[in-house]
Amino acid sequence: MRALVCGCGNPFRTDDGVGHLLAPAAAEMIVSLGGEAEVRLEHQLLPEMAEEFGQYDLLVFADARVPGTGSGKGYDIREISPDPAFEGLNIHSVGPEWILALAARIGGKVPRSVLVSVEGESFDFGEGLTAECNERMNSALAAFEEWMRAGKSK
Amino acid sequence: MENTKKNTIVVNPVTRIEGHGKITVDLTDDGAVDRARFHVTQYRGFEIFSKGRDFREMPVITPRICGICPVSHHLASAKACDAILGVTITPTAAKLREVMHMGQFIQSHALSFFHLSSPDLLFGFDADPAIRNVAGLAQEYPDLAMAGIGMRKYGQEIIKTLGGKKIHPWHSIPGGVNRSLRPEERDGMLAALPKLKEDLRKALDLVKNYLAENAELAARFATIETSYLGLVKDGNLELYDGRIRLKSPRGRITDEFDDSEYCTHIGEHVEEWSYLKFPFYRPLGFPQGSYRVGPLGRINACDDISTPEASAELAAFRKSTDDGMVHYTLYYHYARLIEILYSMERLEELLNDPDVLGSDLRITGNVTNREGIGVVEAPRGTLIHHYMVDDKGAIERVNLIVATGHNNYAMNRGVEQVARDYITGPDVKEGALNRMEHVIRCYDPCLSCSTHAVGKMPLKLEVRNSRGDVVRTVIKE
Repeated sequence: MRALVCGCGNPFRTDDGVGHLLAPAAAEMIVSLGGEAEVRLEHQLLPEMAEEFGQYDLLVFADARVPGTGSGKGYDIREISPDPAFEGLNIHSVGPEWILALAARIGGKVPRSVLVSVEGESFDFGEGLTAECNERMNSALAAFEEWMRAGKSK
Repeated sequence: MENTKKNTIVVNPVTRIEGHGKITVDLTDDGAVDRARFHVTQYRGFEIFSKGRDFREMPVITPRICGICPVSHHLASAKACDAILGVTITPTAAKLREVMHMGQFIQSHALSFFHLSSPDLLFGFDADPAIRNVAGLAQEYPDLAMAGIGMRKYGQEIIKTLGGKKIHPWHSIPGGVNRSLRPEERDGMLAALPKLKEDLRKALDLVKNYLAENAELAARFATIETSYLGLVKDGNLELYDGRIRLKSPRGRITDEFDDSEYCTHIGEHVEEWSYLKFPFYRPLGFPQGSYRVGPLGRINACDDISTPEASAELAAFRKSTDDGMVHYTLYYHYARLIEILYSMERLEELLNDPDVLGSDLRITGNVTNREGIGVVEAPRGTLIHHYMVDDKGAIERVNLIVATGHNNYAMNRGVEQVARDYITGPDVKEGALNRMEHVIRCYDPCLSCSTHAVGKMPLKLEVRNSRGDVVRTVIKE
């Protein structure tokens, strides 16, 4: 099983950088479970990523989430599908579902995809995570490991 | 905002450009357009907070101005630093810088044309915004979308190969570069070019057909007769290192000067309603001395292009008008594609040059000059970095004239002209709004370069009556 783990966000805006820490850890976990994993760290998702998705069996997107918008656990893990609905005004604000839709539209294969999102506490200028977000990230990683072990990625 | 005895329409922010701006249209009491302006409403501040930093840090600091054209800032900054050191960099270093520069031109111009502008041309200005974007393009024109994606990816990979990252790379340093190019990397770059050129040819055909089929629109749409400014080398189009040339609307060479002399030739006018300055040619004053830069500016300013295919395309381009000077704003797209073609051909030349695999990368030195000026052509136009340092190299003063700024006057004039053509009264249709936005998209401004953009705003349209009361608000989420 070959996975692409893409961490998105701005590591200079405190918890917005959680994807950049979560992605390598999630990739390491995938490898420890016998898979192959490639890590991509980006500020934002870009259209040209869509062309590459077909090479993988699993796509994992790791990103920050605005407080109060999730399930209440402080993190969310959900499988995602292509959705062409354009979020926001421009490609600065597209989500993984939109990039998946683009991949499908240009004739690419869209592998199983999962979004792991962690609620941030602060998005102010600064490097490193707040203690709260760090704790949520660790919970998210544990839950992601469980998700992987349960064979949901197969 | 000034609003006396007029209705005002506000489009805020303009979409599908990099960064955020706002358009206001002032209407007279009878609904005609009195005035239209393109505002840049955020402040950036790089010139201020760079003070006190060691000049050697500037090639790393200034690329943060922009995520689309960081390479341009990186190179202009490095050239200004070379001037402070008083060194001429090695041929290998110069050519490697240019390789990265060509990569950026390909990816940035591809983003502008394929992702941001072509949906307007292919679906029409009045099409539903939900499909008039890159996703709609992928649905209806998958090959074109793929071509754009391929060029973006190719350019970004070149930047990453040399600079470690696709955005905010670190390759140029004062006195040279910090990394050589490996033969296998060079071979990979060369191998991909034929397919990309083929894709570009299709895009060129598409835009030429569009302009031919819409000749009347193209001749009128935001057309403005201006002077044109761009770098040239021996009269040819130049993107990395040349002399600055200004050509008059009728094609006469008004002036040509070394980049180090820009201060005596280029002034900056300020308006209270925008953070973006208005550069102008000093001898003519403002606004008479306004000019245009970027693809159309460069294509009009040069005599020819040094690479064969782009040169042939330039000859065809110039047949669009009797005297060969093309003032049609929609032709920015055509000029942009010619520049991608040039960048690909130039890249081929550079990659086949043995110097590009050399290992003599850097000339070391200390502060020799207290002042350094670096000028490159950024995708959006002529970019000027000007630093003054103390004897230890700490920055005392910075002046940045960014590409988008040069086109500020023309963008305003163009927006006003389109507003007059398409707006009567406060009930402004989506198509009219998008046409005004498209004027700005032609220039492909990178407003984050010129100012500062944080966060995301909804597209807001406000209509005010003559007393200044808002009588209608439309928000596009």
